[in-house]
Amino acid sequence: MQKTLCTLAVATILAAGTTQVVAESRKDLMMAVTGLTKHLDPMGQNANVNERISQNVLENLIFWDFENGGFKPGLAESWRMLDDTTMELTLRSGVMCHNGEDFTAEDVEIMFGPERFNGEAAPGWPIARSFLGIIESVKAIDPTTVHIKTRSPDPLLEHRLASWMGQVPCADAYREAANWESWGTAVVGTGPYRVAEVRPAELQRFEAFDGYWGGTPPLQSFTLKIVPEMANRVSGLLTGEFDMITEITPDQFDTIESSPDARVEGGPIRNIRVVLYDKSDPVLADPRIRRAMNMAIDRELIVKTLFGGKTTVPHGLQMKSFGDMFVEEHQPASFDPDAARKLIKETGYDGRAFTYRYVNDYYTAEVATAQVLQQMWKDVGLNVQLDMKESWDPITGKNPEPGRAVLNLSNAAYYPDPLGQLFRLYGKGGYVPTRNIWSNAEFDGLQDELLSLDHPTRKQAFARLLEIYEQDPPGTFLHVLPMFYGVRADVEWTAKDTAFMDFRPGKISTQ
Amino acid sequence: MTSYVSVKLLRAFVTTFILVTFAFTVLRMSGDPSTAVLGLDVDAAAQERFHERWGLDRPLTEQFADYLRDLAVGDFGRSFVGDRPAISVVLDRLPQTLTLMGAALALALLIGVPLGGLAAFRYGTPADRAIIAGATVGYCVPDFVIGILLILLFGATLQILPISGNASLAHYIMPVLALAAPNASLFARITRSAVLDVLSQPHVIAARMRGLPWSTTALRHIVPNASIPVITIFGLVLGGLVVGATVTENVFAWPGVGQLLVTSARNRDLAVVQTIVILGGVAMVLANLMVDLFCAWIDPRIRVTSR
Repeated sequence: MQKTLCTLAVATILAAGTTQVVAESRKDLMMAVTGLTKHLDPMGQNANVNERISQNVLENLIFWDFENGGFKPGLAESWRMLDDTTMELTLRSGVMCHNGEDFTAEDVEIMFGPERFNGEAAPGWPIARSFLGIIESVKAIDPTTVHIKTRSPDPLLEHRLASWMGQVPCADAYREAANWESWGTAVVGTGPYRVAEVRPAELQRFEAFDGYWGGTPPLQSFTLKIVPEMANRVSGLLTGEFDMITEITPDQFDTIESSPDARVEGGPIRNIRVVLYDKSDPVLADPRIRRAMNMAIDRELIVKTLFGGKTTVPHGLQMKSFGDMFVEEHQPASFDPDAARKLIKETGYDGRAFTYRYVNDYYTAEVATAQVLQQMWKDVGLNVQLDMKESWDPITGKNPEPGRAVLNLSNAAYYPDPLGQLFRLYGKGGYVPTRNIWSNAEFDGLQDELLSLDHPTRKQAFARLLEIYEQDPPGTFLHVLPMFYGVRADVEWTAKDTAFMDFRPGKISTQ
Repeated sequence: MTSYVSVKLLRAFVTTFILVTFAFTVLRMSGDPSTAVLGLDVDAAAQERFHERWGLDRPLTEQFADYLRDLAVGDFGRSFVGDRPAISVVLDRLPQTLTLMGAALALALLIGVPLGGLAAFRYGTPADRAIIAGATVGYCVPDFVIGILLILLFGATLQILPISGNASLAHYIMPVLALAAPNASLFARITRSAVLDVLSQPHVIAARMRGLPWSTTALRHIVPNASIPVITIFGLVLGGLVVGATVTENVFAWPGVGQLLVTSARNRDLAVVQTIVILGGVAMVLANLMVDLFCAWIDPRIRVTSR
């Protein structure tokens, strides 16, 4: 017995020592970025710069398994549907918030309740309602059991809880914040890193939270520092001043790859770059013109020349990650300039000019893409005038400048399902119809079928949505948006197919 | 002198008011901050909530009247990011910018004025031609180009200097050089012209013919007279430094007001941008006012002519 105790004591000391050595040898990772989030709560800003860090700090009840697809336990260790509209989740015990308090079902109830999200007056409602608006109520049954009730049966409830906007902060800290904006610079959650320092328009630093339930955070800290100049970011990466850099363009790949100390990471993400057509434009009112525009675009050429072949052309406005909802037999618009010319001739188009409005490279190679598209449309006889604007206001603002015809957008799939992409943006209440760009009654009418719990019904509805997208085009897909990073050779990390940069235990290591 | 000062002060006030009005109007007309703050595909309801929260749904004239009222009591508004007072956000970054500008100005003076004087005294020689050629190049090449060249040489290739931030003295070298180069060139060219002009004045020729020691001639007759044009361009140099610092800070990721201005403008953080524009404008107006007054003080002809 004495020997066992001694062995146990020695093992404990050794383990403690090892943990300390590991903790002390962890890296302070420095990352050069072009922008920082203005609000660290997902419900405060829906943007890549926020999604990039969020799940390292604020966690979901259910985790998405990025490596294998599917769901896995997160803050909830198990969950089940009690009926068509009620999900019961059993929370993991022993989870601690960054401020040292226990994370319980009450946190879930409050954070998804009227104080933060659920209700017209809640600060998170305007942004999060298109993601989580289907949630009617959240009730803590006991400290580890929570019931989530939806307004109608929802085939995507797990996705919603596992994805962007489904993160759950800690309620007490939320209540202690002076207001919504100050909360946005000091969020408190349960993730492996906590907010250490926020200097607006300069840097944000996150440090390891060693009370993390999921193991020792692999980094001592990570800092996102604004370095606007591409040359500076790349030089800093090559000299070792930065461990990672973001927003690199294909023309920088050779410079980075030629160094033994750095490499390029990343590729296509769950986001499709599209152009939109305003149906109220006199020329574009005719769907044949819009279909002809779609056939005039050589998407493969754009991918090859502007993106060095580092991204892909999607199979219509859908993504492979949709899994069994992916419609393989769908026939999206393909490059056929002769057919486009023929169709335009049929319409009797008289060469009337219409505008293509965009901003200066909000999207990668946005200006170059616009110029290429204009030439492709010109080749089939369409008179498109380029009109670059200083901001998005004259394009998609409340009162856009008259004469809007063609414009740009990216269509993120916040969860791998058409409800998170095609219908979210083009369906009833979505971005496109609410800005009076396009709407289609049949398209909107498929909402109920898309929300059905019956998979074949859903898939059939989605196939029809894709057809409508081609027949009465609200625009067209161009390519999958890529996201590239420069990474030092001593950092082992792989980019995901979302903007999230995963630094959780097991997801990054440094030598 | 009193009426001279009064006119200058009145002009300064009017200039500042125009600047405030311009900054306020242009910022509101050039883009909706709700898109920048909340995200591009935010819905109309969210935008309305944002406008309501920050009072942007009211008529522009009403917003402006409130803004002026607040400004009169030193309230510059609050940042959309973190709801902090805009003035605090700007003042936090001001020391970094002042340090950068101060160091660059000092270096520009230390290099530009002696070189300009030397060129004048060696007028027509290879030294003069070399200095004026160097000054022309230094003035013509934009500071961001100098910055990127320095980064490529000392940062990326030789790897002897850090390329971003302001953590140590070594971090100052490249930004200060990039910012000082155009101003040193300007000082050299102005000093050269001013000294050449003074050297041909009768009182300087007379002093030299009287056999006054060279040092006495220089200190009593050349330097005071040649310094007026150099002092006069201080206002211009200050403007150049403000603009240059904005560019240089962004090239070198220097955490100063210039970087804050660019990021805040991109984020449409109205209160912060307005505060920077107003403080920068007021600083320029005050600097020019002080230059005018100083010149009038050291050169009575200016006061008399102004009358």
